[in-house]
Amino acid sequence: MTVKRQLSMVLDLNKCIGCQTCTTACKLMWTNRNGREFMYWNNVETQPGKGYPRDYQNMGGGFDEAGALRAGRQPSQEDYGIPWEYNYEEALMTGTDPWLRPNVKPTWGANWDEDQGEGDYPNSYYFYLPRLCNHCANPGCLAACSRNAIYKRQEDGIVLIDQERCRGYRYCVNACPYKKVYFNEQISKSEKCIFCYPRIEKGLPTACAQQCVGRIRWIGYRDDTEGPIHMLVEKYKVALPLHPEWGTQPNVFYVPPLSPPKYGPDGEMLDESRIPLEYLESLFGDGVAAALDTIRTERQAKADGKGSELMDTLIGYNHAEMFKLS
Amino acid sequence: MKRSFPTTTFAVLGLMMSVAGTAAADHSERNPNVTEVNPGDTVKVARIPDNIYLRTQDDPDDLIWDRLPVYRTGLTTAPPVHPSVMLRFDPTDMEAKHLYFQVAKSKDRFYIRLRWKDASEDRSTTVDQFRDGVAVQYAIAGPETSYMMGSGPDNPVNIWYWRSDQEQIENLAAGGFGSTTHLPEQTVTGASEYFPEEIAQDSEWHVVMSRLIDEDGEHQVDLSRDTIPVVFALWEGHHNERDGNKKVTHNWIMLDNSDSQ
Amino acid sequence: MGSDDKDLKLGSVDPALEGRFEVNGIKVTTVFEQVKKEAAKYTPEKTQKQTGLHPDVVRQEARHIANARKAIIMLGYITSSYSNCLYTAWAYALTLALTGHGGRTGGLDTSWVVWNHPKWTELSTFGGKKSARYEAGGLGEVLRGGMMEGIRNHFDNKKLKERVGFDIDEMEEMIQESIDEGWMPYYGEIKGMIAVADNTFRRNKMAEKYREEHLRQASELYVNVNVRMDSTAEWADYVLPAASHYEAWDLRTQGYHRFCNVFTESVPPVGESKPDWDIMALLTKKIQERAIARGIGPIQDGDVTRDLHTIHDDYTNNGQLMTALDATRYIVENSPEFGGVTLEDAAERGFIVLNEHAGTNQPLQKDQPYNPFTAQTDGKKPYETLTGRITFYVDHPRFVKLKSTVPTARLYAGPEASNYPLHFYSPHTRWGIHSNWRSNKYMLRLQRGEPNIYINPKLAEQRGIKDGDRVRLFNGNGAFFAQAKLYPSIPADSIMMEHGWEPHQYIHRRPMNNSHVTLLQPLELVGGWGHLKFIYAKWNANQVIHESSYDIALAKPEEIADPRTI
Ligand code: SF4
Ligand code: SF4
Repeated sequence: MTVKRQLSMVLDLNKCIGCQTCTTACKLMWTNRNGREFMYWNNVETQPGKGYPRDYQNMGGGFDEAGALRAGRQPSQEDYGIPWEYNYEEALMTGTDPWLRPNVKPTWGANWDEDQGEGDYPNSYYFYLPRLCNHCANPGCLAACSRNAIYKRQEDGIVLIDQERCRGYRYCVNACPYKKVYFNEQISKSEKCIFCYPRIEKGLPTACAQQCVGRIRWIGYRDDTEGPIHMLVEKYKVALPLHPEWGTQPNVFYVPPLSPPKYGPDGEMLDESRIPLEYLESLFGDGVAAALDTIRTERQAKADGKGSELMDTLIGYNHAEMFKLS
Repeated sequence: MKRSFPTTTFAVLGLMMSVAGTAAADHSERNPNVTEVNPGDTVKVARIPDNIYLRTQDDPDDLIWDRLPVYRTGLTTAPPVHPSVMLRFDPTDMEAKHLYFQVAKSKDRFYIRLRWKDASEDRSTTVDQFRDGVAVQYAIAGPETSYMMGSGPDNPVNIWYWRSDQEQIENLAAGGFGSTTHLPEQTVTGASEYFPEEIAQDSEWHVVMSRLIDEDGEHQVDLSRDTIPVVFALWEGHHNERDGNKKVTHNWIMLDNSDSQ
Repeated sequence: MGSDDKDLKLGSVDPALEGRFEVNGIKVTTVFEQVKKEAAKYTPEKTQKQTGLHPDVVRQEARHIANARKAIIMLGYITSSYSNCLYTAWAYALTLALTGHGGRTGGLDTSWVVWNHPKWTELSTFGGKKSARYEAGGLGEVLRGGMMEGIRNHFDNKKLKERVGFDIDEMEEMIQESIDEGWMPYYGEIKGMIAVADNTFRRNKMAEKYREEHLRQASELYVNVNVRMDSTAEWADYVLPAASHYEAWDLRTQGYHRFCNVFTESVPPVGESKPDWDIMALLTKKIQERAIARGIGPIQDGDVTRDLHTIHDDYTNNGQLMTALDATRYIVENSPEFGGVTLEDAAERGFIVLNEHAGTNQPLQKDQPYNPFTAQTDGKKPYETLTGRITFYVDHPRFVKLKSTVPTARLYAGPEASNYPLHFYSPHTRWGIHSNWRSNKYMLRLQRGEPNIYINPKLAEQRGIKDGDRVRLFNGNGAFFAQAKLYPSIPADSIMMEHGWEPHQYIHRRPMNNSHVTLLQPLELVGGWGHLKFIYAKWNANQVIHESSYDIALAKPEEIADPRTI
C-alpha cells in the first residue's frame, strides 16, 4: 500500500518503566466513554506474558508466507477484561455497602500479568512492551474489510476506519494480528488508534508520546533522512518491528532491551544475559543480536567520553528533536 | 408453475440445486400444504381480502398466515467474493437451510413472512457474538440483474434486512459487492418473534416485513408490477455468520404479483 | 598544632590514619584503625550467607565504585524503613569516603534534599516569629497512636534482641530516656485535630488502634480538609472540601530537580471547594473573631506565644494574603531563588528554573550538577558536625551501649524476630502517590481491581494458592485479606504488597496496617551530642515500617463473605 509519506514511531524498550502514563493519556483522551471502556488503543504489557487482549500472540490473523490473509480467533470480552465499576457512593457516602470494591470479580485486565515474566528468582526477567496500532504498510485490517471502510491516509499513512462505511463485521478485529482494532458494541462499529491525527495535523505528537515519562518514543516520517526514525531504523538498525513474520509491515519499531547477567547457584555472575536472545528474536526477528551489539558498543563509547550520535538520540535530550512532524 | 431460467450464474445454480434436493437437516416438517420452491420457480402473491382486518400490522404470528400458502426453499452457502469471506467459507458445507416463506398483499400493503428453524436465539452483537438476520432482496429491474447484490450501480437491488437485535427493518440498496447503502427513505416495517421449543433444533424465528405498495423513491422496489424477482439470505449468529458469510437462494424466485387468480 | 580558622584545610598537618600512640600516658589509636578492625568482621565471604551475594560480586561492585570518575549512592526512602538503615547509610558514607567520592566526584544523596525557599519558610512560620511545634515524626506516632501494644504482641523479645541488638523493654526504656533527657521532643496527647494533606489513618501502622486513640483524644473536634473521601476524612466531624490539582494556584518544587512547577487555576474549584490557603484564611478569621470576643490573649508556648486574637492578621500578613493566588504571587515575586520573575511569566512558562540562591550548602550553579558538599571539598568549609568533618566515630553513651561507635552492621528484625515465617515489605505504589489516586477506577483497571499481594510461584504452590485467589495474611496482631498475584521476582520466603491501599478497599475494611507492626531505632533518638540532636528533617526518628512479618493461607469463603449475606 503506497502512500506519499509515512509517519512512524520508535520506542526504546530499555527506557520504558511501565508507568502506564501513555495508556492513561490515551484512555482519557479517546477511550474512557461510549462503549470504548474496555479498549486500550495504547496498552503497556509485561513480556514474556499473555498481554492484551489475553494471548493475542496466539490468536492468528495477519498474512501467511504467500501473502494471503490468515484467519484467527475472535477475542472475547473476557480476553480484553471487563471494565469493572466501583460502588463509591454506597461504600463511602451512604454507607450501605460494607467496603469499596469492583462490581464484578476481576479475572483479567489490560495489565493483569504485570511484572510476572519468566524465570526463577533471582534470574527472573521481564520487560515492558508498549503497544499501539502499527499503522502498517500492508495492514491486515484493511485487507480484511469487505466494505472498503479502512483506508490509509496519503499524506501520513495513518490507518483509519471510515465510521460511515463500517458495518461492524469484525473481520478487521480478527485480521489484525496485534489485535489493535476493537469492536464497539454500543455503536456496532469497529474503532482503533487514530495516531492522534487531530494533534498531528496541528504539528503536535501523539498524546502517548508527548506524555511519556521515560522519553522512550520518537515520531517522524520514514523518508526524513535527517530525522530520528531514519537514524534508528535505517542507519543504525537498532529499531525493529514487532513480529515481522505476521506480514503487515509495521511502522512502529522497538529498540530491544539489554538485560543484566544471570546469577549462578552461589550468587556468582554468569556470562549469560537474563533475557534469552532467542526469546527476543521470537518477538523482533533476526536483527536483535546486531541491534543489541550496536547499543552495547555505543553505550560504552558514550561512557568512555568518546561521544555517540546514536546514544545522544536515544537519550532524548529534547522533544523538538524527538518529534519531527514536518 | 412456470419455469423461467435466467442465463446468469448457471454453473453455480446447477451445483446448488442438486444439493438442495438432498439435504434435509432442518426439514422435518412433512406438511402437505407446504410447496417446495426452487430458484427459477414462480410463486403467486396471495391476496388478503379487503374484509380482513389485521389487528397488528406486522404480527409475525397472525392467524392470517395459517390460511395463506406456504413455500419452502433451500438456502445454501453464498459463494465467497472477498478474502475475508473466503477464509470462513467451508466448501464441504453442502447442507441446505430451509426457509419457509409466504407472500401476500392487501389493498395497499405488501407483506412477506419468513420462518426458519434456529436452535439458538442470537440477539447480541458483541466483540465475539454475531446476531441472527434475514434479508429479502428484490431486483429493481428484471431477472437479468445479478442475484448476487445486483449488477453494478446501474442495475441495483433493493434489500429489506431484518436483524435480531432491533425491531425495525433496514431498507438498503446495493449495486455490486461492498456497495450496500442505507437508503434515506426507511419505508419498511416489520416484527419478529423467536419460538423456543423443548427440542432446541425445532425452535423457530418468525419474521414479517411489509411496505406500502405505492412508495416512490430511488431504489425502492416497484411492488405494483406483475413480476417481482426475489431472493433470500439468512445469517445464523451462532455460526459466526455476517456479511458474505451467509446462506442464500441461488437465483431469483419470481413472484407473480398479477391480479389474475 | 591547630588553627583558629574554622575550615578544613590541613595546612602542614599530616594526620596519622593508622597506628597506636601514647598521649600523656594514655594509649590511643585512630578512628581509621577502629573502623578497619570493625569492617574486618564483615568480609564478603562472611556476609555471603546473609546477603546471598557472591564475594566476587561484592568486590566487583566495590571496584566499580572505586574506579568511577564520579559515584553517587542514593539512599532511598525504602532503606530508612528498616531498623538497620542507620548502619547501611553509614556504610555507604564510608564506602564513598574510602573510594574518594566527595564533592565533584560524587557522594551520598538522599530523597530528602530540599532547596532553600526562605519565603516559603517565612509564610509557614509567621515570619519566623511563631514557628509550629515539631516532633520526631515516628516517636509521636508510635506513642500517641498506642503502637507499643502491637509491637509487644508481634515480636519475640529474645529473638528481637538477637537480631537488632535490643529488645522491646530496652527500646521502651531508651525512648523514655530520650524524652526525659530532652533529646527528642514529644508533646503528649492532642486535644483537637485539623488534618490537611495527610491520610494519617491510612498510613500509620497498628492502624485501628492509632485511629481510635486519635479520635478519642480529639473527640471535641476533628476537622479534615480534603479533595476526596479518603480513609482519614471518613472519620471527621467536618470535612472541608479542598480545591484539587488544576483548581488552585500552587507551587511545587523538590530536590530531585531544579525546577519549580507553577500550577494555575485552570478550572474553577468544583462545588463549594476552596484552595487550602483560602480555607485557612476563613478559619483563622473566625478563630480571631471568637478569641477577641472571648477576651483570649497571647498564650505562652515555650519561647513563643500563640496569638489566637491576631491569628488571621498574622496568617494573611495583615490582609495582604487572602487567597492562594495572593500567596503564590507573594512567593514567586519575592523569592531570591526565583530571580524576580513575575507570576504571569512563570505561569505562562509553567515552571521556574531555580537560581544559585536555591542551594543550601553551596550555590546551585547554572548548567552544572548540584554536587554534594563541594563547599566542603572545594571550599574547605566545615561540615555541620561535631568535628566539622564527616564522622566515623560516635561515643554517645547509647552508641557505646549498642556497640555502634564506628560503622558496623546489624540485621533487621523480620520474621526471625517473630513467630511468622514470611518477610513482608510494602514499597511505594506505582499507581498513585501514596493513597492519592489509589481508589481511582482507571488506575485500578490497570491492576487487579482490589488490594493484592505479590507471592513467589513456588511458595504459592506449596500453600495451594493460585494466581487470583484470595488469601489471608496473618500475624500476632491479626489478619487481612488480599488477592494473590504470582511474582517470580520475589524470594520464596517473602511477600510484597504495595502501600497506599485505602482501608475501605480491603475486605471487611481490615487493612494491612491493622496487623503491620513497626519499631523505632533507639540510635535515631539520641541527642545532646554535637550534630546528633533533634533537627527537623535532618535528625529525627521515623517509624521503621518494614520490620513486620506474616504467614499466609488461602482465605476461606466464610471469612471473606459480605457480612450482609450471613
Ligand atoms: S496494527 Fe493492526 S490495526 Fe493497525 S494497521 Fe496494522 S493490521 Fe491494521
Ligand atoms: S509512558 Fe513511556 S515509560 Fe511510561 S509506560 Fe508508557 S512508554 Fe513506558
